[in-house]
Amino acid sequence: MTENPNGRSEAKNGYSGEYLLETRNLKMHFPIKAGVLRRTVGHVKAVDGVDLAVRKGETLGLVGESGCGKSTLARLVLRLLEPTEGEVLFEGEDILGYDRRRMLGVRRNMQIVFQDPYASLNPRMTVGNIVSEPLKTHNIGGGSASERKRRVQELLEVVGLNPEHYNRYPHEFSGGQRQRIGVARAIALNPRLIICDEPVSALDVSIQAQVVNLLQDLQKEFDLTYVFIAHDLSVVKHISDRVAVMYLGKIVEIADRKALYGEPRHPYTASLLSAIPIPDPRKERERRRVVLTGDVPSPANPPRGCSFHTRCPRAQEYCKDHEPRLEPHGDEVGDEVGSGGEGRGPTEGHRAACFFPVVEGQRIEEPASSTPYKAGD
Amino acid sequence: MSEAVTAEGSQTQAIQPRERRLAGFWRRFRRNKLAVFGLAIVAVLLLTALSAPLIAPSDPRAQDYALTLQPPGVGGLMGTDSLGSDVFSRVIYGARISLMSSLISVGLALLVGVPVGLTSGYFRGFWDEWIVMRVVDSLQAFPFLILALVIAAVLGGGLGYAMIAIGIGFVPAFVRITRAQVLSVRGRDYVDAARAIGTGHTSIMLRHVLPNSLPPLLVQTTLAMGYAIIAEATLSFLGLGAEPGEPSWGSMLFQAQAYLTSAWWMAFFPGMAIFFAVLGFNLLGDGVREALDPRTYD
Repeated sequence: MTENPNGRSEAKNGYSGEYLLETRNLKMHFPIKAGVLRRTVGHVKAVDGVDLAVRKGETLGLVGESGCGKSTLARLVLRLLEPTEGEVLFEGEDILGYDRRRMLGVRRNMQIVFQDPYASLNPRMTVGNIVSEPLKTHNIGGGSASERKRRVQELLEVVGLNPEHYNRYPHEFSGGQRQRIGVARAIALNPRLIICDEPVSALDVSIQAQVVNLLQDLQKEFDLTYVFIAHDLSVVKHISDRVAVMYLGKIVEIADRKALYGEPRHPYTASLLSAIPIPDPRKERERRRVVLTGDVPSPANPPRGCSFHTRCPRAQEYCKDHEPRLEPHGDEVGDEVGSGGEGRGPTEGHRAACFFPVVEGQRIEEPASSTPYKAGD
Repeated sequence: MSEAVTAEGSQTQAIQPRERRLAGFWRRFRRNKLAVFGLAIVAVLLLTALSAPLIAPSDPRAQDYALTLQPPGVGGLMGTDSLGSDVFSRVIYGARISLMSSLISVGLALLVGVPVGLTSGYFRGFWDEWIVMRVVDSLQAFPFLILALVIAAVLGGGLGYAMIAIGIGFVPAFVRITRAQVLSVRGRDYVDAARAIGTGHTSIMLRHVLPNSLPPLLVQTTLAMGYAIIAEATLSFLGLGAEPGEPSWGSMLFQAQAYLTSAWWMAFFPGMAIFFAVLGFNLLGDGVREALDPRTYD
């Protein structure tokens, strides 16, 4: 594998080199302040204990409803927010303690593409200045202005924009073109990881496909690793290798794309998937939908026990008092439970945080048994 | 050779969009007839102040005891005052003092208020919430004129101190407006993008936050100019600004007080000058605000 930019040995800290990015028990609790004295009266648990591992070269999809903490998680990983608790490991090293200078080295390798192509570009800067900002900050791409300009025009061409538009302002572009500018800025430093925070949700469907294809092409060309955040399940299915589902600040299920879409274990995942329309009227008519009742509970005051029990069609008494952990739930033959599953990485295999997981062929509304599921214990 | 050509080419290209943006601003501004009127007044005021020695028929400080309290027409265009000075010349020169004092006081307020509001809003935290904003609150607890009056009285009389006092009086408003704007801008995605890139705080503030915080500041600056004219006149009227002999609109009014019933022109003309100057800046400020309003953007 490639060398660590800091020249450190990769074996340190139990780092196997398989994962580019890991989060361990990552928490972000925003304080709620009230009163004249601005005393803290509570916390919004936007991200509440997330363990995630992203392999080199893969695309990890991250889905969940609005407000579930996806974007906060993205900002934590990039240290745009400082987490309340937990670790963020980039190439095996916890970057949370890094000072400004060492962080700069990490920033070079980790970039972000934002959701809103209108808000993510400074309206008072030309496209050339926007895309060359990373080059200037990191002092690469040639010292002279003309060399940098050439590099920026190269980048514009790579993302499918006319290099002649170097001197235009963002408001002169369409949403899709602006998103391409954002992508050009993100790849300017040749990063290894790009966090895509709902990069296509603000775009027209036809433009979405173009931008997704662009991202896929870039991944092949520059050997990129993606964390792809979205609420559109079909886009995630198209681009991801593995998919994680988030609910109220927690990962509730994570699995390979095929396993997650084919045999969802968590009732939340199952109900999300049941909402995808099938482009075949006959099948669509027979599709059984699980409609969740109620709203997502407030992250300032999440339910006790399993945070999903208030809306879960399968919830039992047990779920109200006990909090499920993210545990291996084998696919079909139970391949990874017990045997191979334990020895592998921390978030390997098909994992779900549910006491009464959905079993293939079963109606989501009713659990098979009233004994809570526990793996390994 | 080719190097120079490309450099030049890129420069002309770079100007185009900004020009287009300015053209859009001007088109929206021009639609507002009152704003154009305000701009005209401010332009006339500026020209008058710049070319005062050319316009004024006589020395504004010259006194002629043989010709005191002459009504308009007899003793010059606007008559003469109780000391025999030409009121017209004094009003013309008064534009200089008014404009200069409003420029200096507003400039001072910008110089102090904008950096403080920018850093305080950008970094937030204890310093912002408990020191800066509380000081601003305490300053704003006093009515603006009272505050300027007290500061001018403490510093001592004279036009220079009056300008400083007015400037200090404006600082809280500029801190607040800058900070409020910065608070809204700093949360935008392009600021996060810059942070993700690793751009330093200074550069983020100067390249991203400040340029996008300017429109409301521009409006506030224009409106404050008008208000500074009133403040200067008030301080001078109360004897804390320009020296009595100086051709300031405020001190002219002060001087005219005793003659209100006998020589109306002594108060009327400087009064009208203040009125139009303030009106001009206010109309201009409103026009600028309207033309910068994002809802009228195309």
